[in-house]
Amino acid sequence: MSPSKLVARLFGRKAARRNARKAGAARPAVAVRRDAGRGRIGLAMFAFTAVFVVIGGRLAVLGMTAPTPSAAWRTAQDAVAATRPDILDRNGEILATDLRSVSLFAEPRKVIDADEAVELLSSILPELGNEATRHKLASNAGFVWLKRELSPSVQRQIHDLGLPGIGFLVEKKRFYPGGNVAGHILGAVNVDNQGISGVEKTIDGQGLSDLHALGFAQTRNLEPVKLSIDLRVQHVVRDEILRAVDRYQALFGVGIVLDVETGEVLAMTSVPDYDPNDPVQALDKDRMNRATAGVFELGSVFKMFTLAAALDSGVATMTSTVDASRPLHLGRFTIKDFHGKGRVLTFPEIFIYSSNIGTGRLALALGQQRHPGYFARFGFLKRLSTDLPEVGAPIVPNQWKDVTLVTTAFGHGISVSPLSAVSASAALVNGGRLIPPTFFPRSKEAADKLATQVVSPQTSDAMRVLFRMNAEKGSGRNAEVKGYRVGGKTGTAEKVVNGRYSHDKNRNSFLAAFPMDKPRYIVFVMLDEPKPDRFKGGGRTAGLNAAPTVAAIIRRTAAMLGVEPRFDDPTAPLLVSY
Amino acid sequence: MTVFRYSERRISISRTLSAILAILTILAAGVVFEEKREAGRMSGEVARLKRGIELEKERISELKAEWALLDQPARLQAIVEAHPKDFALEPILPTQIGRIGDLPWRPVRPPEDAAEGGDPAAARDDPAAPHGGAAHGASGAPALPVKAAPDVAGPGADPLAELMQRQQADPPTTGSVAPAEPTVPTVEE
Repeated sequence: MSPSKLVARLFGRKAARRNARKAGAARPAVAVRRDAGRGRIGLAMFAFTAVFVVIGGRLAVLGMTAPTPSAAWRTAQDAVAATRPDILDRNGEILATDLRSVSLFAEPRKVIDADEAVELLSSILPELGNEATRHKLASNAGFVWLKRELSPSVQRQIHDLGLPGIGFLVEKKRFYPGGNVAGHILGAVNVDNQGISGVEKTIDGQGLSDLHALGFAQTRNLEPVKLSIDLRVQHVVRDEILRAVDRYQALFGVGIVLDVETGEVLAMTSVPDYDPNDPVQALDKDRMNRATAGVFELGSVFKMFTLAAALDSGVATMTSTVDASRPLHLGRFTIKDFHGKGRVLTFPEIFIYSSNIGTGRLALALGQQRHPGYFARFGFLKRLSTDLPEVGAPIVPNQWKDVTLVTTAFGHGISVSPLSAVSASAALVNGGRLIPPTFFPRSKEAADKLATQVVSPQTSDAMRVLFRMNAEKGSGRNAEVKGYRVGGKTGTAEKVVNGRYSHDKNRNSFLAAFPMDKPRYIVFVMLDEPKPDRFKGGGRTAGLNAAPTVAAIIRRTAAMLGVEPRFDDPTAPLLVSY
Repeated sequence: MTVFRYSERRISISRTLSAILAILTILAAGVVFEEKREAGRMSGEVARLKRGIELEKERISELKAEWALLDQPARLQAIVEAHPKDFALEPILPTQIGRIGDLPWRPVRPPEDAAEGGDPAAARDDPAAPHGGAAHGASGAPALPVKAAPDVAGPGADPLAELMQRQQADPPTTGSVAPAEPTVPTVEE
């Protein structure tokens, strides 16, 4: 086909015109229009238009859709490593956080020269320069770990070696900067970064594990979790309990600081404790969380509840008297007083002298309905509901016989967790409102909604008076801190050894509230089997070990807790220097 | 090539147009290609920056963790206890905490060239007036002489404002260091 013919074919329209001209048509233009080529032109135009419309439409569609992140795959590995939210204390101090850790692995099949690789690696990590590593790399294995948890700088150096078959995997590792300090509260995570105890487990229960299962949990979109714990107070409580355990050679110690208005736990420690960075320690039975998971006969501390019940039910008033001159005989049991006065005691004296006989008589007066009824109201008969998964169920009497009424009145024959007793005692001083304790921040309004009135405000007022009296002239004198108006109750429970109450093995506790004019915090200390003071000697009763420990905690933490010292005594000196 | 003679002019126009269109097409293709390359480069840059941000965030959280580790109360306490001489820090006592309002006024000692006779006598008569600058006082005890000091200097509703006025009114033109000028009271350690 000649070029002209090709052109003619292509330009069919012109050929048509030419043909028309040759044919000598009168109106060539009209003839051209009517030519058969017109259909093809129209078709071509239609086709092109259609193509461009499609392209334009697609452009418009593309322009309107949101851009898909092209870098999503790069962070895929982040999603593989399950991340957890940071845990902060109430002031924003970090209690637990995720650290990125890089681990070194090799794919020996891809390693070209094992000797060279070992030599270069050992220049950065000398511990890899051994025969074992050489064997590993020379083997035909698909994957071997070389070193877990490298620092970023070491990772960079190894990366710069450019060795084939050597790679890194990013893992997330939970890190607790405080170590032991809040171990029992925080709990621990397992190797898959799932919470197995403490608040970590609670967080998982709140839906984090679902997020993990769906692969949504990435560090950046997880809000940090704030706790009600104050790290400074927590440290002081732990420090003082450690000191007390050492000083009085106790088997274990428990310390709790609770806000009476909101039920927030400011600090809670149980020594011996464990370092959540090394969760294996948590398996040690001796390191259990005795503050919530353990249940104990708390001894005389419990008298406050019976006395409050007696006041609240109207069985007794602050001016009542009870005969405590003779021991109380109940069947084959005889109830005696430790600090027996051998006379009729007034109601406040029962509290101050911690009279078993007096409290027992009040319990009998309350009777088999009301006395356990009040215990139920205080929450002693069921498992405490709080945010930690480790909560011990109380051990309560099956039957409320007279002797049970009397012994439970002074804290024997009923075992509750320390946190349960603390939360109930908060109700005795805050106006009678029982607020479930929490480890997460809670406002006063939220606490008011949760509160249940267990005793009347008048009873609460009377209890405050008794608390304060006891610290001023009763068994709690050693808990007094000048300026902070402490009030409290000692408890020296006899431990059960071989099924019998032992006279020389005690479990001592002190439950204090301060400042007594408007209580804001409960401080509770329990020491198991304390011996006489290592440095000063003396007795073993709670007033001599648990009470001074409470005083030390209050002295150090009151300023942190925002309690202002006040000296009602105008002669108290205020040191000023100009 | 006679076949084209009839419409040589039109064909040449058509040709020019085609050429222009062809060039434009090539140009447009070039521009599109360049834009695409640029977009690819940009998305690479975005990814790089995102990675950088991730790394920085990791670094920040690492540093925060390190700070938390260094700032542990237990660690600080151990350091303070290990170096008692260097820090000389003691636990705060309740008596060391007070409100500014509870602080007694600094006892006014009259300047040596004081004309008034009552003031020095009042200061000397005060048996509780401590030497060495330490004063004892307490809130709610207005009867204490130290509390009365502003009144001695001149009765006024706001002692602080008055003192400031006096400070302004007593420029060093007098030539002597005014001994009666009150300084900011500090709570003794």
